[in-house]
Amino acid sequence: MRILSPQDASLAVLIVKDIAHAAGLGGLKISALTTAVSELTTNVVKYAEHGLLTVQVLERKQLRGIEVIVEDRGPGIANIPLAMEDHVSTGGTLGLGLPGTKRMVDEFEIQSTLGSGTSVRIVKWS
Amino acid sequence: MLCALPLTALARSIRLHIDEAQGEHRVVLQKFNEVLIVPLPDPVSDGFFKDLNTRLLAFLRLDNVRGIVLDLSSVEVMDHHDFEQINRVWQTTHLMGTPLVLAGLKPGVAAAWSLLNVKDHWATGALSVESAMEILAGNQAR
Repeated sequence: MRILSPQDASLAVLIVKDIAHAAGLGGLKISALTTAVSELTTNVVKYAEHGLLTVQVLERKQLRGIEVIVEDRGPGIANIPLAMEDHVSTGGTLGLGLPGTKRMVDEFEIQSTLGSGTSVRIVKWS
Repeated sequence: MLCALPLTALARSIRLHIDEAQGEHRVVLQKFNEVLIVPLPDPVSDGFFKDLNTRLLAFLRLDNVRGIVLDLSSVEVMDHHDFEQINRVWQTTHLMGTPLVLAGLKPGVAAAWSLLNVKDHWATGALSVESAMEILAGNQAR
């Protein structure tokens, strides 16, 4: 789904929550995952104006996981290692979104190119 | 591997969520024993917090209020941006000399805020609105 507004970000969170619940993730894992999705989609609205979210259910042996990819064509991140440190922000915020997101999920990958955009992939396993 | 989920149920819930996500933020203030109780909606929005700050300032200026309880019991997801918004509400009420208690924070939200490493958690917390009222009553007794 496209992320164009704060309402889209809220909708994305609710949809991911439903999918995670249907896939059998527990309450606290769903909370962590949906908070991570909220962080990423809020970043899209704030910094890139529009982006795309895709979600799918993964299976690995006995486990189910929820994979969420959030990508945009925004300005990109100049220094990813710096952006992954707590309290570093270019937007006047607390600067906890990306590093906090990484802590809340089991798998985290980020790619960004200045002037082209950013893509973040997260996975939360049951 | 993509796992199949019941599509009709998912489509129905998406429809419901569209209404939820696009719903108007409405600030509801309840006053009980000179304490303002403010239930936060889910999802919570920037518009809601903006209206809340405005309404609270007006109320605190005109009415006798000895405390505020933010009821978070309905909120399932709050990211660090939402935490900052609550921080601003606290700053507003603190400057007006009115204590604020966060009530009913869900375990998932508390765990997420912990992982987000939000520090300077200045506000008093309570498990329920009733407990929050007791805390404020105890503050007044001192």
